[in-house]
Amino acid sequence: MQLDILPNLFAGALNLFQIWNFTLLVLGTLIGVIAGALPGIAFVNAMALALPFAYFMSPVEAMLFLTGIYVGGIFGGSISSILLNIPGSPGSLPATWDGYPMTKKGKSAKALGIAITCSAIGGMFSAILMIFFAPPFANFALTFDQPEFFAATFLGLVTVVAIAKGHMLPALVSLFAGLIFGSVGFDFFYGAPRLTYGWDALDGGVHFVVALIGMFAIGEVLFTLTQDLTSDHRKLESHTKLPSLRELWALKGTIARASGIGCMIGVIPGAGGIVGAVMAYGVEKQVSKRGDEFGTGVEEGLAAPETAKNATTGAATIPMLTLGIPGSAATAIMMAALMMKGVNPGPILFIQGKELVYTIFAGYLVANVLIIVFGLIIARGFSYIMRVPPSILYAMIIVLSIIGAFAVRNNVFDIYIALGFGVLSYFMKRFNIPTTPLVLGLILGPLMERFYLTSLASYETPAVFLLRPKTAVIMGIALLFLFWSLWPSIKELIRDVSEKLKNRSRT
Amino acid sequence: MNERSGIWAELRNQRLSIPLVSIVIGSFLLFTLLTDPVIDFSKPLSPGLWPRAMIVGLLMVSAVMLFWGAHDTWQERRERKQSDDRPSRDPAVEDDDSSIITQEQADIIASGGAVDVEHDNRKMVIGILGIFGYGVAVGYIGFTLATMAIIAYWLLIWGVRSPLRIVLTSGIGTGSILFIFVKVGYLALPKGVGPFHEFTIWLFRTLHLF
Repeated sequence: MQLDILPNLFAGALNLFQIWNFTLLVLGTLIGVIAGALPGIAFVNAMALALPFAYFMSPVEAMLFLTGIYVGGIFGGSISSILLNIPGSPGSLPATWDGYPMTKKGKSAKALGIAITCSAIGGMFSAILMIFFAPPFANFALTFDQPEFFAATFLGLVTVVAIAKGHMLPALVSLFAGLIFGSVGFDFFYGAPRLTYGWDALDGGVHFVVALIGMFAIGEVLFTLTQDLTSDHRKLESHTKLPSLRELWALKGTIARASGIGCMIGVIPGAGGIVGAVMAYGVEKQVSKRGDEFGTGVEEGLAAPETAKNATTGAATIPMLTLGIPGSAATAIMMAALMMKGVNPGPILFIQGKELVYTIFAGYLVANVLIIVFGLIIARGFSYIMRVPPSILYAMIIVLSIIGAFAVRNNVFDIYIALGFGVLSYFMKRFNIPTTPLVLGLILGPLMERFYLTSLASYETPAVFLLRPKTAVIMGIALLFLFWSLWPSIKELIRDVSEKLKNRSRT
Repeated sequence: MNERSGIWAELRNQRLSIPLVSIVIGSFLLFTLLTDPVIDFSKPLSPGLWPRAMIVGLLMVSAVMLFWGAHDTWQERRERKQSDDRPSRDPAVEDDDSSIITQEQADIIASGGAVDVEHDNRKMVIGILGIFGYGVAVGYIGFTLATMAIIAYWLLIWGVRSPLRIVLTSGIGTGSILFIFVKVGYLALPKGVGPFHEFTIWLFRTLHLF
């Protein structure tokens, strides 16, 4: 595979600027910023709701539309974080820690300006990393056989659980539930129905698009319905003042560190925007001279999570495009859209679908510029957006979810499945069980089973997962992740046992 | 906080309820899988191999979770008896300054950044009933009538009481969706059964959607 990145990117940009493609990217970014800004609707919900519309689009159009929502949405959440102290999306939570105190000090315009600019810079940095890192990685992934793909999928699932750290057991329960849902239906080798209980409609398995719509749209509506997220926003003043070059230069260290953290975290499956933002905030608090003042409205405290949050976007797309392994709910939805259109992400896509890949790359770059434009507009009109009656908004989400679920296979049974996943997602959120491992288990489970069985069929020994060098390295990294996650517990256990032994010897 | 909310809070700590539910469901799935006559476990690369491994994985994780949950509950009760009101901690986790993610950050990440607010259980039941009712109704009375009904139902839940607003919103909302997905997208949305099927056909023709 030739890696003519710049000429391909130029061709991708030309494709992007075709009127309909560009319109969809603009529309997606606008929808993303609005959805992100509205408390109770995260950008992932908006992406799940966009899936039914993706049926009417070509793969390029669908991906640009979703890219816009993703990039715009991950930023949009910061508007309500800064102005109302209510995070519009999970990754925007750290923006409330220093962004809202800035608003209370009368510096909301400056806070919004920092959030918009830093998000755009972080996102741009991540997009550039993706453009230059994804093609060579896809080239390398071309040398992968089934055992390597199995190991890579295994690594993806392990990191999803490992990143949950203290909540590892609930994350594992969620993951195994997803893997079990993924194994429902005809098996890959013999075509025998499994766990279908005589329901013919389940023979084809649980379609992950249906589950995604149920979990991220219907579940979210239920969750919002039972909470009281109302706030007085009628007299909200939301002017924006972009930082000057001098002000930005003063934040250069913060932006560079947070961009690096965001990109690093973004690549790790299961981590996503919130992990990047929280970690960047933590690191900046330690590094900054004003670390002690964090939480009182410090610019660095806002710039770090904002940069890191958007810096996860491009990086998170790398494993999805190059290996076909989505690391987050957002990239899982993007992968679902691709697969719905008959496009399989993976290294081959970089050969057969070069135009699509590079148009997506160009889309990421442009979407990060567009968030500056839409950030300014939406922040100014935020009080008007907040006047949209939630009753109509949520009723429409339910209806669109039902259409989306039905449209996957023109099957009414899928509506019931989506509703079931919606209720399941509601209870999981309420019981603090992470939903992302379930979604990833459901998507990656069937792939993993296929890689596992074909590896065993080809190499006739389970030792193949340890004896092939690349597989062994990937498996080793997975074990390292597990060990990193378990280390505090192991240390605590050792400390407990040694204390008990000491106490006994004293008595 | 009353007795019921106390029980609810105890359930929410997920120590015992979640693993117990997982074990019950996992055991049922394993039993039905192992006794399924269609699945031959003696075959090489049997169709049941993968789901069995996943269910066993779920059962093992749930058992570990139950053990820790029981251990924590027992320890907390013992501490309470000793009138020691130190805050309880998950023994599997400890703040570690040398770690990349602190416990506080891990909690935020695990909760998905959710704001911890009170939930209205009455609204939850009404919401779930409405959503399931809609799902069932779509198959019988068709998408059009069911959608008009769910929009009206949702407006009522959110406190809208003006009949004109309810009728207009549900009518215009349903009409817009039908236009986008039936007229533009050629999607064959469920039309219902019997007279409802006839009604949907008549309506679509009247609205020039066909």
